[in-house]
Amino acid sequence: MVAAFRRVVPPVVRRSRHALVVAAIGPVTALGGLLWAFIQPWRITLLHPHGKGVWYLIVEAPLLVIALGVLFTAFVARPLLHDLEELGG
Amino acid sequence: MQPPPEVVHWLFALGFLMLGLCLVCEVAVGPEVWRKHGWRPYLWPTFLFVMGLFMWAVMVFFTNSTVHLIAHGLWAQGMMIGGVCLLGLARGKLRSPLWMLSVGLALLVGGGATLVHESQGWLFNRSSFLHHVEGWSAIGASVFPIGLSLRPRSRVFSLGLAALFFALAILLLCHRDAAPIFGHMSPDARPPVAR
Repeated sequence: MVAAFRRVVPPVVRRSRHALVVAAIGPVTALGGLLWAFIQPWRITLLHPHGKGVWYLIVEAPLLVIALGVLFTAFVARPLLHDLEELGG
Repeated sequence: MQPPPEVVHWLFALGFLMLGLCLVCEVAVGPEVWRKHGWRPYLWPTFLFVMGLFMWAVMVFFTNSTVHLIAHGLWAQGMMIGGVCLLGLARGKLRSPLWMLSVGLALLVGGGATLVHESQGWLFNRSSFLHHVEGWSAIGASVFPIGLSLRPRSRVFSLGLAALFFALAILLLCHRDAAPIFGHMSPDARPPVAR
């Protein structure tokens, strides 16, 4: 009965605290950027582009923070989590 | 096509943010897991080194004054020397943890240069205030890499260094040309000139 149940519902993988830190740090960074964008929307010059120079349109600080969080999660944190699980961390 | 100074500060802030993220992950998983993939140990030392390379461009293009030129050059050298020593440690070419002292030295010299190149004592002014906080933070936090050179596996010192990188990232992201910070507190402050 238990075996049948486990086939249907896979066991929840409990992550260690360290794995949680690695898993969360990128999304938390991206979330910080998102909150910043909401708190200071004038920092997103794409929302009001008239009269702004090209650099202010390219370098949108809150969006770059979000992008860094996403890229870090995809290219650093996920492979690291994989290695951590492989080594039984 | 020269970027405004505040944009340059924001771009370097992203570099420091990346350094902090990498360092926190390294502390969280431990050096064995962090070094499992060949490229990972080189990640944040390479970032530090490349930030130093870009700082040379800042030195060349932002020549407001001689002291700016010297300060930018010192930061470039500090970041490159720190990055190279960390790369040497990651590669195994350098074995003594005392090479971490190079990062401490870079923070001491860089922090001092930050304070000297922002000679204005107008702490109501955003740029002056932020540069003073950044400079003193770097000097104060140089204790962490110095501690790491004596206790290389210390989590406290590693997290302290990561905290400095996060703090520098936030402070650099706060830089804006046309925004006072404590202007309302000083009768000497003039209203900001919008660009």
